[in-house]
Amino acid sequence: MSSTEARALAFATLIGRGPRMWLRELGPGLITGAADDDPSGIVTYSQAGAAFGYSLGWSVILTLPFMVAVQEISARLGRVTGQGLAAALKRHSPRWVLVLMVGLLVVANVINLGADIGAMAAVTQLLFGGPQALYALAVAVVCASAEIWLAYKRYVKVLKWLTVSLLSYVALLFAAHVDWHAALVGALVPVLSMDRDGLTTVLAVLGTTISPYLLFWQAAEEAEDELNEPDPRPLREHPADARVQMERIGVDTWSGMVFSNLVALAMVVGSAATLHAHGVTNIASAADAASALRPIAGPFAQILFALGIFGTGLLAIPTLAGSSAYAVGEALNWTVGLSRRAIEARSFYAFIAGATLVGAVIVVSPIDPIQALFW
Amino acid sequence: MAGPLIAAMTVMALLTSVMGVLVVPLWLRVLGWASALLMVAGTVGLAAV
Repeated sequence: MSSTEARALAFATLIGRGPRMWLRELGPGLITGAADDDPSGIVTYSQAGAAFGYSLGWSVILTLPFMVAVQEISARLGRVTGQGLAAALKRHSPRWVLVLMVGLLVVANVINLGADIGAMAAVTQLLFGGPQALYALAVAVVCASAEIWLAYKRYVKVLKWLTVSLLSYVALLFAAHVDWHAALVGALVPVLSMDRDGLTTVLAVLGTTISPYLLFWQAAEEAEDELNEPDPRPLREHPADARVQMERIGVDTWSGMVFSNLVALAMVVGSAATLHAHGVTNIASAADAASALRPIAGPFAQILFALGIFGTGLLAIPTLAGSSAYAVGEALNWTVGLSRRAIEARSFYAFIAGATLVGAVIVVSPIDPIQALFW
Repeated sequence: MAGPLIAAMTVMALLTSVMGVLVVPLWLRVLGWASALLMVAGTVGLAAV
């Protein structure tokens, strides 16, 4: 049986056992895929729809096989070696590659944390009023505390449930008057305007979809899950389980990335049907999009959009901070792992707390994290 | 556009690192390299317009 046939059989078997069994099998792939649609990603997808209408839907579809490939490679690497990506880089690449990659990852992640915490604070302020800085601090403290103090298995369940918040962007489509024919054509027929705005937007979609923190996170979570199984050895030490594990990783990764990209497509289509259709072609932030949505699609749509921002932010912030901590920890030989108690991995957890708090500080600083992410 | 470039470099580093682990079938490697090259090409293309 070829690997493609084996994977198809694994899909069919899982789906045949029912959706509940299928969902139970999903783990790092689903959480990673959902974390990809973080608040700054939502701004990117919404901007694509606002500026170009339905015509850039194809860019989201195009990225799917690439995204699946790089995420599945990461997941396999984590499961086989029992370690994250930084450990693999440390073992197989020159030191300067490790330092450069981990350094870039941490800088990009902290700026992304600022963008996501800022977006969550801004939509909270939009709905309830009050000081944005206080909301930013509260978000950072809640996210870091949950990541540090919740038991790993319970924490993973919380993250899996948070993926449901992404469905708010699918629900948003029902509050919009979507031109389904134009949406389908936009999703299937690639049209690229070769000017600066068109190229920038497509590249932004590509760069948002394939993000380094997702690679580091999924590899680390595969290794972490392995540690919590009855046989905690890396897969390379018990290769008899390799086929089953590789099939599970394939199903998990495809499921997570298809879910992620369908939601991203829903964002592009929803934004095209509301913002673009009413002449709003430029949005600079999540709060901008939420504000513009209210007079067009009503308060319910605005609340759905804001809830989506909040839910995906709660998912993305620990992913961003956690992936940085895994990478730095593995590079510096710290004891790492979310399944370890705080006292066993002090430096790892301190880094998570520190990175999250720095992200919150960026919100009140003169730095515009969305601009910083862009450049 | 530093974001896509950082992502491309990371993908390249990742792919280089897994060559020694040998757990990745060819089709995944080809797609992985293609995604990295696509991002580099996009970044260069953007700089050119």
